[in-house]
Amino acid sequence: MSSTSTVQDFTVYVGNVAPEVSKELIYELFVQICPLKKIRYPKDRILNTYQGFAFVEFYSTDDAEYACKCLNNSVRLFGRTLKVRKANGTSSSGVD
Amino acid sequence: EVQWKHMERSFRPGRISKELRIALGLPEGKLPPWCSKFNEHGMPPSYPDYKVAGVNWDISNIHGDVYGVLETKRDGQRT
Repeated sequence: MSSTSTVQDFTVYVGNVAPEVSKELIYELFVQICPLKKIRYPKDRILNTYQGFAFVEFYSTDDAEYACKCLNNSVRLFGRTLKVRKANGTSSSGVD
Repeated sequence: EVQWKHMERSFRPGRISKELRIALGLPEGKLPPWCSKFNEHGMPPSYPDYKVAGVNWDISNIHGDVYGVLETKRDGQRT
C-alpha cells in the first residue's frame, strides 16, 4: 500500500457511528457539507457488522477541515454523537 | 462502482431523505444541526452557490425534505 500524506490530509475519521448507520447515510450526511471522493466503512469479517467508524475522503484539505468543524460533536445519528476529525491527527498511531 | 454512482444520483446537498431524518431525529421544517455551523464558520468552500434556509436564504424556503439548494450543476444531473 502506497499511502501518501496527501490522501491523509484529505481524509477524516468518523467515530462513534451507530451500527444501524449505512454507507448511504454517511454519504448523504457528508454531501450536505462537501463533495465526497470515497468512503471506507469497514465491516467485521466474521460478524458482518460495521465497527463504529469510517474514513471519508474529500477532494481538498479545506473540505476535510471544514467537515470537521461543521460535523464534529454536532450531529447525532440514532442517538450517538458523531466524532469527526482529521485522519492524520497527532494521536494517530498508524491507520490500518 | 455501481453503488457510488447510485449515491451520487440519489443524494443532493440541501435535501434530506426520510432515512436520514429518522437517523437525525429531524422533523421536516426544522433546520439540520450543521446550519448553525455554516453561520459560525462560513459557507462550505466547495459549494460557492449553496443557498441554505436560515443562513443565506429565507427561512420560509424550508419545504418538505428541502432546506437548501445548490445552483451549480456538478455533473449535469438534476431532477
